[in-house]
Formats: sequence, structure tokens, C-alpha cells
Amino acid sequence: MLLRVLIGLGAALMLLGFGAAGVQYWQNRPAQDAEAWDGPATEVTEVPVQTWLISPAGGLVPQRDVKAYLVQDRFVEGRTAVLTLSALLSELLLEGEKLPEAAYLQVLADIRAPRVADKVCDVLLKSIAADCAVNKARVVDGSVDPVAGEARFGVEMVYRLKPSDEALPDLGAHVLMTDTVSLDFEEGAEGARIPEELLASAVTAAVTACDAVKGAKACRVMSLDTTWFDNGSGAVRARFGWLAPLPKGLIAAPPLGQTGG
Amino acid sequence: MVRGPISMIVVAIVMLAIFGLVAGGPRLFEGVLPPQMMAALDQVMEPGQIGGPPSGSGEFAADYLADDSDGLTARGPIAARAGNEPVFIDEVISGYTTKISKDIPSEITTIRPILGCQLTPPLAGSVIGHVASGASDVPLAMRTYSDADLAAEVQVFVNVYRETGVESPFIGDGPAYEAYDVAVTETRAPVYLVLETRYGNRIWNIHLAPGARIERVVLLGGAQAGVANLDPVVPVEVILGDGLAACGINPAYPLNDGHLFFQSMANGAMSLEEAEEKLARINAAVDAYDTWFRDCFGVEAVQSRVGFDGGTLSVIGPVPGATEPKAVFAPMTGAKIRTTQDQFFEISGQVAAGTDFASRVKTIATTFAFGDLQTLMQGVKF
Repeated sequence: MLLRVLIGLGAALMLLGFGAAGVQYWQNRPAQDAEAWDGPATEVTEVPVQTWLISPAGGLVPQRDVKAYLVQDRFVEGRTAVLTLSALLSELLLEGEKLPEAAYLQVLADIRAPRVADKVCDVLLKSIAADCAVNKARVVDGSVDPVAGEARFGVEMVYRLKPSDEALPDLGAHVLMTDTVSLDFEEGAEGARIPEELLASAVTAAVTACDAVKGAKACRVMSLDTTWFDNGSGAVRARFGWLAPLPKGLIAAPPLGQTGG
Repeated sequence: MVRGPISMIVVAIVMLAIFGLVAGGPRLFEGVLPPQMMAALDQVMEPGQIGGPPSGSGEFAADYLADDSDGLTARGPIAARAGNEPVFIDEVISGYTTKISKDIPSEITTIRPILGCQLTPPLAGSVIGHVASGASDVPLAMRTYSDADLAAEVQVFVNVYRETGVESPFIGDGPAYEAYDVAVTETRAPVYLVLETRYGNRIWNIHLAPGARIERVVLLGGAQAGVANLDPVVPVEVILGDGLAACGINPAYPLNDGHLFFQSMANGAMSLEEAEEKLARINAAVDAYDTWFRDCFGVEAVQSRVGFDGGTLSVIGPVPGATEPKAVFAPMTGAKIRTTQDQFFEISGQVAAGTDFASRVKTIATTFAFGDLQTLMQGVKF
């Protein structure tokens, strides 16, 4: 046994080493071999040249936030709408299909989780998004209830905002402000009867919060996080950002090695 | 430009060969490698007989018994005998081998666990042969599994597909039965065998010395359990692991001296109070099991146990002298087996195409994925 473990460990280490070398090899291939991004870009969207933003404290805003706010010509990892919801397992079935044995319900739910996300993007497309795609949909581990025939699912969507009439101001002369709005919905409350309604409530809350910020320029919804329960209760948390003039005495300087703006 | 991919392919082939050797054993290369190389591989990779060098000169059986965080483990050609002492295998059985992974039995009879918790007690004058052992690492060419095993493997398959975008070439064969050998050298009285599996699927292979008689076999614990090369008239009673739990029976034994628990105590990783509390709990469990065992079989579990935490063979009875006959190895090839089974049962090479474990896994995953594994892929390219 020990010998097998040692050989296995050695082989795994070799695989790791050569695997890393292999990855490096593929990464170092000429650029023309690289796969071009083929995501949606159906509408003309303003693409700022500047790739950095200043925080109100004068520091650089983390790149994840910069992209979530600025980069609207494509999907970015930081701009997500997350929805955790309960759904009936029967919703995962095709017409005429039956649920399998209880042992398979968890893996069935995991494989077919994207089906519960089918309608969710519509909510965003009807409100703030120009494009929306399901990035990840999974069943929550151990959440399958074979008796009730339901499970909890986690759905993560990415989106890009509709082009705004409001042009971005000089980014170098502004700071990125962010804030979060949170709402809780009691059981049966208006705005949380179904998951899609709760997500719509989150969008409305974010847009309303944006409108309420005095002097905000180019306020944008940066992320949405909603949790819905099958009793009609839920919670939403929306993060939004906007540009504000540089505070007096603060001078914006681009980070070393970066240009533009 | 060409050298890079070629060297990667060469490395990949070498890696696959090494992984194949580790996962499938030397038999995987039968017919590919010359016989001399096969013999050399066999020598270093005999199942259940692998280990480091002996702790002493290798002259004594105790030199091959390791006492460490894995428990008491046979690291060489030794068996467990009365008092849980080691003895060299060739002193108690003739023709012994663990190269049985391809052996095909001739007859499989399905047996079922008993209803309830009451076992038939031994007859007066019988000798109790109690074997309790951990893993033997001697897989058989038989597998049994349930929907739960399939579902778990489907999830692994799906996860790998999502990560790599290709079907995993490493779907397992399903949970195999593991063999453990019991050599019975006791000839003075009939032997009532109590064979205790800790976990997994287990076939107990019985090897008798001339004149040895078996009164009854009781199989305790494990996921599924069976017995090979036992006279068909000998009754077999089974309580599997879940049955023991349902009966409130928790097999427990004292920790070996080299156990991680005592190492943690010695190096201060565990406080004295915490250690005492845990030790008290372990001792209480050992006492409770001893009591149940004595009530059932008339002997205490700890005292009667013959079997290490890792090993392949236990001997019930005395070590034969120079002139006394040893137990005779009974091969698995052509053996009659009585065993419990899960929902699905397979014998290697006798499974209809498309109905083996791996095929079932792939079929289920594909069906759940609406017939197209590509639908498993998720994630947006950023």
C-alpha cells in the first residue's frame, strides 16, 4: 500500500510539474492562436480608455470594481446578479419525464440547475441590462428535500448595462463612490412573491437608490444579490456606484505603467 | 515548434503508464511487458504484501508489524494469530497468494442479513474464532453497488466534465469486494467463526487445515459481506454495518500504542483534559462492545480478536508444528461464494456491454444532461 501511495504521490508531483510546464507552453503560444472573445456586443457601448479609477480616499479602486463599473462592452466577473432560490424538482423535468430515485435527485438538480435560471435573465433584460447570461447555476449541497420535491439553487448571472444617454465625465477628475442598498421582505410581502419579482425589486431598489444620490454622475448598478424563500420572503442587496468630483486637494495620478485618461 | 508538443505527448504516455500501474496494478500490462519484467513488477506490487523494510533483521514476524498512526499493520508476509500476535504466513498455510484480482468464482449465492439483532449462540465445547480486521487491499473481480454509489460517481463525472470539458477517463469500476483470508488450524473442536469487517465490501476466504471443522459463521459489519470456500452445509448469519448500528452495536477496540491519539497527547497537540475525556469515551465504547460480544459468543471481543488494522490473513488455531499439517490455500478461482449484495452486482468480464458501472455512470449523466454532455458546461468567457 505504502509503495503505491509513494508512486502515486511521485506521479502526481510529476504531473503537476509537467502540467505547469504544459500550461506555460500553451500560454506562450503566439497571440493569433488565442481564442477570441465571442460574447455579445450587439449595441454600441462607450468604451473608456482609462482603466483605473480613484477612490474617495485617494487610493486606486480595485480592478474588479473598476471593471464592474466601467467595462460595459462585455461581461466581467465582478458584475453579477446572484439569486438563491427554492424550486420544485418537477420544474427540471421535460414533458413526460418522471423524477428518478431519491439517490439521484441531488445530481439531477445539479445538472439541470440552469433550467431554474431560464426566466431570470428576462428580469434584467426588461430593466437595466443590454445582455445577460447565466454564468453558474448549481443546486445547494444537501438542500434536496425528496419529500417536498424541492431544492435550493444558486444562480449567478452576468450582465452588461444598457447604454446610457449620460456620457461619462472626465474619469481622471472624478472619484468612484459606491454604496449598497439592502431590503428584507417578510413572508408574502409585495415584491417577493416569486424569485423573478424579488430580483426585479432588487433592480428597482438599486435604481431608486441611484436616483436619490445628489449630484451622482453615471450611477450604475454594479451587483445584485438576492435570496428568495418559497414562503414568499426574501432579502436583496444591491451595490451601485457613481462618479463624484475629486475632493478638494486631491490630485489624481495614474498608476505606474498605465496610460490613458 | 514541434519538439514541445512531442515531449508533452511522451510525458503524458509515461504519466498514464505510471497511473495505470498504481491504479490497476501490474496485471494491466500483462501481454505488453515481457514475462521477466512482469515477474519483477509482481514481486514489488503483490496486493496486501507491500511495505517498507522490516523494523529489525526480518528474522522475526514482529519485525513486519508496524504500530503507527494507521494502527497495527502487516508490512510483510505475516498473519495475525491468537493474542493478535504476528506469525509468518508460510508457517500456517501452504500455497498462499494474494494475486487473486482476476480470479473468477464458480458459484455465487445471495444471502441476506438476519432480521433483528439476535444471533445463534455457539454450541457448548466449540472454539470461538474471532477475526476483526481493517483493509486488506486485495480487491476481487466482483463488485456490488447501489444507486447512491452511482449517483456519487455521476456527480464526480459531471464535476470533471465541467472543469475539463471532456469525459473523465477515470470513472471507477464501482466498489469491489475485498478478500480477507482466514486459515483455520484448530482441529480439536468445531470452530464458530465470527468475522468482523470494519467497512466496505468483504469476502472472507476460508482455508482449512485437514481435520478442521466449521460450526457456523457469523459475519459482522461492512457494507456487504460474504464467505468463500465454506462447506455449503455450514450456516452463515450476517449483520451488516447498518444493521449493527440499528441494533445499537458499535464495534470498538482499544487504540494501539502508536495511534495518532497518543502521539497528539505526547506532543501537546491535545490537552490532558481533552485526552482523558476522549479516552474515557473510547473505553466506554470498548466495554459496551465487549459486553455485547460476551453475551453473544461467550468471549470478550478485545481478548479474542485476531486481526490487524491492515493485513490479509488471520489464523484461528495453533501454529502447526514441523510435522503438523498447515491450512491449505483455497483459491478464489472456482470457489463457491455466499454473499450479501447491493442493488447491482458485477463480475469482471461477465458484464453485458453498456451495463457496467462506468457505462451506467455515463448513461445517467447523459440522460440528465438531456442527451448532450455539452450542456453541462457552464460559465461565460470573460
